[in-house]
Amino acid sequence: MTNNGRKIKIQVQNLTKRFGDLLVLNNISFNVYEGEFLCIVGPTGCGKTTFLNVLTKLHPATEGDIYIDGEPANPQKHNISFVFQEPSTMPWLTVEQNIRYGLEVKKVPEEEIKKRLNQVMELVGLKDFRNYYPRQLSASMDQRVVIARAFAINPDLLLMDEPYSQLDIKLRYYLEDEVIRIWREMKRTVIFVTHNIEEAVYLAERILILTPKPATIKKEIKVDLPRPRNFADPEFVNIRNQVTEMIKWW
Amino acid sequence: MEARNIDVKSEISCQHLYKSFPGMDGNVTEVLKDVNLSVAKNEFLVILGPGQCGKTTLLNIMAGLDSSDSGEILLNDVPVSGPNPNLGLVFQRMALMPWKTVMGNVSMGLKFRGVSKKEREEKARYFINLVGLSGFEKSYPYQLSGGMKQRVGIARAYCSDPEVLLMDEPFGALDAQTRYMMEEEILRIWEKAKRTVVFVTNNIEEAIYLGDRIVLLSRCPATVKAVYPIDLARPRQFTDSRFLEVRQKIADNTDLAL
Repeated sequence: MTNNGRKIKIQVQNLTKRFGDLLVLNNISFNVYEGEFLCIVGPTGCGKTTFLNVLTKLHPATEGDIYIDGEPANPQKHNISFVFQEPSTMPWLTVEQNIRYGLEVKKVPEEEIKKRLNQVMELVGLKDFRNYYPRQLSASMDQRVVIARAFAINPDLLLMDEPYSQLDIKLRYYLEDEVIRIWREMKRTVIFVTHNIEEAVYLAERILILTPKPATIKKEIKVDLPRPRNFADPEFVNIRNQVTEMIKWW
Repeated sequence: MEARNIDVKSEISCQHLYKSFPGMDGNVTEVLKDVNLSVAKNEFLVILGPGQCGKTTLLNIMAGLDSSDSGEILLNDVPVSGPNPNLGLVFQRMALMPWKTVMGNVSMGLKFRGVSKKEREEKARYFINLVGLSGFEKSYPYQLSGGMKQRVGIARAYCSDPEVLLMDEPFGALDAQTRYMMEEEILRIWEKAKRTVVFVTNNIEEAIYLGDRIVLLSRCPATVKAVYPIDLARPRQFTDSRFLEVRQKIADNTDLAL
């Protein structure tokens, strides 16, 4: 399987997770291509959080594994960024220190840290706020710090867990456009998990649809629409309805 | 100042509300600026506004939980001066008592008003059934999902038999899909037990799905920016072209609070 001639970056193979007798993830296999923006949607309670925790190696898989560039994923070797649903800046650190933190953990040389800090702060428009603390920022600026921090380590894989679900629509549109702009600039591989079907259609190059628990992949849908996308475009609406039909439990 | 937007026969109305809060730096933050609106009996009115624009402050003042600097709230032409049993509240964070069962939570308002146990349980049972929680009377909040907890919150607000239900982003903490389900549910409940509803949200889709009318607030300090009657037949379809048209129109007129 190729995707515009891109090579495979991430391979998820036969991923299974059990808690005692409870099967949560059932033999999930898929690939993510280098530089791809992949969205994963599934019905409420399908095991999405477990899925992310296993993908990031926060929890061990019961069976199966994840490979990055053909090697078993290893958080010490590979750069994996995670953007959470809840605000996750460290309140006792300034904007710059928040972004710097991951780079220091990864022992990036000081020269390089300075270069990347400037690059990402420029990209998300935080240059003038480098010495501010999170409490001095608005919700959207706080989110931008988190995004900048996630991209700064040049992640092999960037996982985003419903980062915009609590924001109002206009702000969400704005930040969705921002993340697409930054993704295009930084050319990273992104897995974006959401409950919001419209958001998935707006962002994704490809959508994976999960079944109810135990989760497995139900269907893959390519979204080949030009950007910026228009949620009222008939083709957009058509894909949205199609995905909704496959998930709808309510 | 002329009293536009005010209908004397309205059930509840806000007249020239102003509110400011002192900030940490000594400056005063103006939150509400001459807010006027009126809600007709049994109307489902949605107040829509960007994040942190003052929506909750407005609803708290309408509920009598906070006071305005000037202006007033009229409930059937009588000024509201504090908490009032005729105003039922549903909160975003549910605010259920964790040590009380579903029955205990729903019937609590009646208990405070001295209604006998038999009578209040009978009434609570009716509303627990209405919100689809029959069989869960003895469950505790921690045993319920987010959507179910908010059903308890709605039943509790109904149980005191208020004339007006004030709902402050009741579905804000739910995921997008559970939210769709609860939006269908709240309309079903409202059709069965008609009340005047003032529903606050920052979600344009939700506003158009639910409202008879939408009052759009500006960003802080909040003032009424526009009023949109929504004359789409119910149940409304989120991807219907007219729905999307209205949504675009309102989104274009909404302030972006960065």
